[in-house]
Amino acid sequence: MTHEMANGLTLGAVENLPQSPIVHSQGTPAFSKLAIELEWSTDAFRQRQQNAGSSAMRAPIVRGSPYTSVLYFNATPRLHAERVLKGPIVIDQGRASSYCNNPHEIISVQKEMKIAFDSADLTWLIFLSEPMQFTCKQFDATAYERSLNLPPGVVSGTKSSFDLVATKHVLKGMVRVAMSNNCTSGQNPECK
Amino acid sequence: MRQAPDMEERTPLKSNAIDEEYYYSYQLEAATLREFELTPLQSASTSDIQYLSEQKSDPKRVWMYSLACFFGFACSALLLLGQRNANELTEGAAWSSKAAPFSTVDPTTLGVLGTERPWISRPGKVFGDLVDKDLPLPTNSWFQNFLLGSGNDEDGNKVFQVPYILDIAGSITGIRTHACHVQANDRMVMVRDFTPKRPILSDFIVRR
Repeated sequence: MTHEMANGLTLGAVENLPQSPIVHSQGTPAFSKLAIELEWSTDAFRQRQQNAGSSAMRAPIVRGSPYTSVLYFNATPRLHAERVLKGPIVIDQGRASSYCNNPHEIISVQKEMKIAFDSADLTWLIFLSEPMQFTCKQFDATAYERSLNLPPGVVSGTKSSFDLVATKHVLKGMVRVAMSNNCTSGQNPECK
Repeated sequence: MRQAPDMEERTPLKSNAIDEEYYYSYQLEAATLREFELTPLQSASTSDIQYLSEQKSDPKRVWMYSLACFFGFACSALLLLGQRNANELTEGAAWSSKAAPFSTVDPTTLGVLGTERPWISRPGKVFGDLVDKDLPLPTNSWFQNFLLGSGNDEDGNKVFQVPYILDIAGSITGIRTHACHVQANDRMVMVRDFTPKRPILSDFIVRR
């Protein structure tokens, strides 16, 4: 179960950024041996224009790093997965929690969140560089397929989804994720 | 420091047995000290014998030792500096060398067969304006899958960063993080690949 593409957690943005990134370099040497920084940015950002359409996100990728980090520049963080939650979102080490069952609920986070997904069996920690507010919504494709009464072994191809979206953009901030448990409930065959 | 009695006074002056033993231990210690001080540093010829006490007081020898120490420190500094320069040459040149080329002549004019390079093998848009800066571009890096292809956002473009597998082929624009399971035995270390997709309804209909 660990090795399905749908188990991945994507760090993205709400803004309409180009799908393919470019390599961000701050000088020479343009490439490091252990790191690369990808950038998704609007034309206005690359031309250093200070307007509402100027937004970008950068992902510094370092070999061996236990975090996946994304820097946001005038952009709105968004986390997406093709799974549904197994339990509530644990906010700031238990200060609050949310079951992601009300898309209008505002989730206020000071520093960090913990989320665990069903069937993927992975638990992720999400760290924020500054306090943010999120809304959450999810769709359970398994429950939907059950209602279709399909023949055994056949699935509809409908994907589950989980979306955690910040309510407003950050001028310059960072969101990073780290996997804290790959065997949350024992569903993962790698647990054996 | 205790003062040793004279070596010639071998007869104990005191009759007490404990004092006598104490007295001879003094004599033994004094003899050992003298033997050490009189040990020659060079025994090849008796005329060149120098003793420890003499060596300490010889300003010429002190000056020679100081010069040797200075020479040793200078050599160490030169070695370290040379090693640093060598690292800069080998590591920096791999990415950012701007050395003049050996030749600017087109090889085909010299009779070498030319190779038609298709557009797909050229550096993609991912390099942005770095292509115009005459910089060497990586061709065999661990993150190469981020740089290959026209879109580099397909499922196959995975990067094994370890402890995660990363790609940019998620449902939304951004970077996707996958769990990574490393398997190892006495002959190899490998990362398990992803399982194929489950059959969907359309596949089921086509097969029947």
